[in-house]
Amino acid sequence: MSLPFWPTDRLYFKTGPKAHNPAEGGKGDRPSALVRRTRVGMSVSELAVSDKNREGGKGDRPSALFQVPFVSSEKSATFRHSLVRRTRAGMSVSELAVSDKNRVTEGGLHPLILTKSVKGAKRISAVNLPAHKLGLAMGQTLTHARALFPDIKTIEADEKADEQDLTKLAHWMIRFSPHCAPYIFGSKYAILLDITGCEHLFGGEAQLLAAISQCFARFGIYARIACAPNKGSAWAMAFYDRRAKTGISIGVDDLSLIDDLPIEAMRMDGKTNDNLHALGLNKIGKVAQIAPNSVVRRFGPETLQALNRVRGREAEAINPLREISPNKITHQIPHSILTQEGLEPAMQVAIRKLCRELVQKGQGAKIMRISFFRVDGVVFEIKATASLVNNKPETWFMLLKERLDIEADKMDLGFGVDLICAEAQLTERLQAQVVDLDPLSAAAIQSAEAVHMLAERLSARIGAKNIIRLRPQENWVPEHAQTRIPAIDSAGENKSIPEFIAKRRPPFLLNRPENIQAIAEVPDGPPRQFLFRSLSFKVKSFVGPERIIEPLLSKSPNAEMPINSHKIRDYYQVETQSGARFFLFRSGFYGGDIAPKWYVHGGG
Amino acid sequence: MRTQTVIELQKSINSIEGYKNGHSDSYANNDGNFIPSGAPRFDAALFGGIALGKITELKPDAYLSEVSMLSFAIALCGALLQKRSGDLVIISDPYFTQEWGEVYAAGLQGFGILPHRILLVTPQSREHFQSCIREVAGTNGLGAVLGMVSAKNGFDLTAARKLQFAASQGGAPCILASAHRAVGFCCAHLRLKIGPRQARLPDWAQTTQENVLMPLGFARWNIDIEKSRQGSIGHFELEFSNETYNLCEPPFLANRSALFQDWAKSA
Repeated sequence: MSLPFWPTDRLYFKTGPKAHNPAEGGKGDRPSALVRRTRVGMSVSELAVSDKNREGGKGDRPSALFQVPFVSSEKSATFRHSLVRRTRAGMSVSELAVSDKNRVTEGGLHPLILTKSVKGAKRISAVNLPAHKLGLAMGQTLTHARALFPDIKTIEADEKADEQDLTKLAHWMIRFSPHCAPYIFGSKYAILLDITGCEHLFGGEAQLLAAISQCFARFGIYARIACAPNKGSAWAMAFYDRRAKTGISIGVDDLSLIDDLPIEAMRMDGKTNDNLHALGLNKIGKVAQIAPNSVVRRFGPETLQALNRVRGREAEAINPLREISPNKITHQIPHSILTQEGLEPAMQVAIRKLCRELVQKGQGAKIMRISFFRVDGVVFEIKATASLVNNKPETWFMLLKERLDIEADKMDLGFGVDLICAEAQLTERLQAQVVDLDPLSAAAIQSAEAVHMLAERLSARIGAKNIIRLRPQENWVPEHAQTRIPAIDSAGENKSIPEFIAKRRPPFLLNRPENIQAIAEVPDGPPRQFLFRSLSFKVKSFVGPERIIEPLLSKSPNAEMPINSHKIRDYYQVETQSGARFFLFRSGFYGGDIAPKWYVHGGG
Repeated sequence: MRTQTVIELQKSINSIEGYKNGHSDSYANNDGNFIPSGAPRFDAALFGGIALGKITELKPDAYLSEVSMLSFAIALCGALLQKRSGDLVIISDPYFTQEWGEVYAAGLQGFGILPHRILLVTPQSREHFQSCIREVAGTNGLGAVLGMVSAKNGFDLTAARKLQFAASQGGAPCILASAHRAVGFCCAHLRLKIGPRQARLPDWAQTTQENVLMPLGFARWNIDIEKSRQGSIGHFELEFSNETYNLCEPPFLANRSALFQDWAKSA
């Protein structure tokens, strides 16, 4: 069995790998630390890929599977050191495997276990090799373990962090296939890849599997790879076939190999597994020999479904991590790029390639995303949105460069970026451009284009939500009479407001009306004097009242409005003796139980 | 009254900048990069009108006059957009939004600016504010640019100069509305101090009592020209007609009795 290892410190997005503490054996040099980890212990993971060409036209989508060991992770510097120690001691995982018995660890090997609460009791969820040799196993209670070995080192398992790490790794594996998803079944962690149509990009299926294997060897992860026509059999082979350690690929004709696998490979619940074991049905082949009706009657329809899935008779979808866009190119960099300045030319090449493809299709993009793949399993992305659909590489490069400059502080290039992927996420057929010979119209078209490009540049710089178009709404209530939409999403509407309303509205409206004290004629006269922000104003001229009644939301539409209902507003536009203008309203009427309130809603 | 020294200095500056006449009362020899505001005496004082590709700075005369200054800025933009194509780009400041409210499309339409011609930029930090206003000022094809400058987002010398260059590249009238407490530099071609003024009363209202409320007239402002590169300083009263969407000076009642004329001047 190989020594399990999970270099989660290399998979943290923001911090990146750090030099190891020399006191703990690391020389502070990243490559040697990586080598050291490789020498010290190998990670256990299983990878399964499948090929649609082998499925024989059953319609099943091929799937690939990658399993990574279950490891807890902490979020502190202390953890990083302890992670290094664990690395040398051997990572604890749910499934133990020693890759090479000749790879002796250095220094003292400490037994280490991960624990988690199961039904109110702390139980061991993973053990490392020394702990395994001491006789500790998964499922034992922590109390039992401490009774045997009081000094045993324990760490609380963090499943959420492990899932996040798995997701990050799955993101990185999109470089092999866009149809990629993490998959967790119980304590088994895996990554599914659908490599249909991808293998030729790597020179064939064998080369693709070898490339995946090499990548994980570089990380220090020992990959178990299984390639099968469908998801179920790939998962089964990866976890339960010994040959997956070195990689195995089976076709439609080889599906009989599945029959020799244990029933746990069918991914059923524990109770069903126990029932099958109790009847001596401990292999998939034995269950397959039973008539389907009997299987359903005896063990339930889920068992038959599990059997059909593992044998490829029932389709099982992979839910990809990211939306798959049809317009995507990858640009492989022969050497890794370590600086932001180096990224820009490579990004420009990728954008040109993508735009060439869009031009050939007669399409333009509205959103473009660039993903940068680091050599050590981290991916970071930038995205830009254009206000007009276009396929000009200069425009897209300018927008994406703005985003890159803004995100540069958050990016850690680590050991370098070796792959750039450009995707056009929202594409449309390009409309024919309007060319007008009339100079006035041409000037208007040019200025409209200039505004669009300005909106794009500013959106890339400060965010699309800060570049706004005002869209009038048909609503009498002033604060509801307009909405703000991002300029890049506005479709160039030419709505306007009726003139008689526009002349009665102020140019500036407060978000929240400010309460004031006012003296006014009863019952519904204009204010004569009011106190606003500790200053007293005498009204000289006014226009109003304009009565606006907000609709009742909960009561029936025919219900009478009570006299003091604060849903009635009487608006006045007033000018004071000094010449300042305000937009006031009174909420409610005089003469009732509750005194009406006056507010300033705007000015100018 | 301006001193003779200042007048002579201005003449020499005008001649250096290529204005043959160099006289501040005549704008016959300007390079044509002005848009008239609609008020002839005001435009004459500005040597033609509001300059294109140059910065016009507006300052309130008091804290409460900020809202009047903003409405004058909108009125000025409305008058300019009647004569120019392109959109109005407003770079707002959180200070003004908090004090006097957000830009309201219906109210701007009352000043002749249709909603689809407004692009609102709301930067959240000083660096973004200054880079956005430079970017906007340097863009060709815009109708007008209105920037609201608070005390927090004021310009230093370098930033002010960069903005001036950007405005000259863009070619649109660039109007900066500064808060009352704003400090900072501004390479303004024209600086105006704005104060509110009561609207003109209708004829029938001129003999009514003080405590009688009047109907609302056109918005009116007191304008003091504090600095004008090619023009002269002075005091003006301008009002905005929302029938013609233009700035104008209130007509003078020349054919009325002296009593009414005195009253009209003092009102």
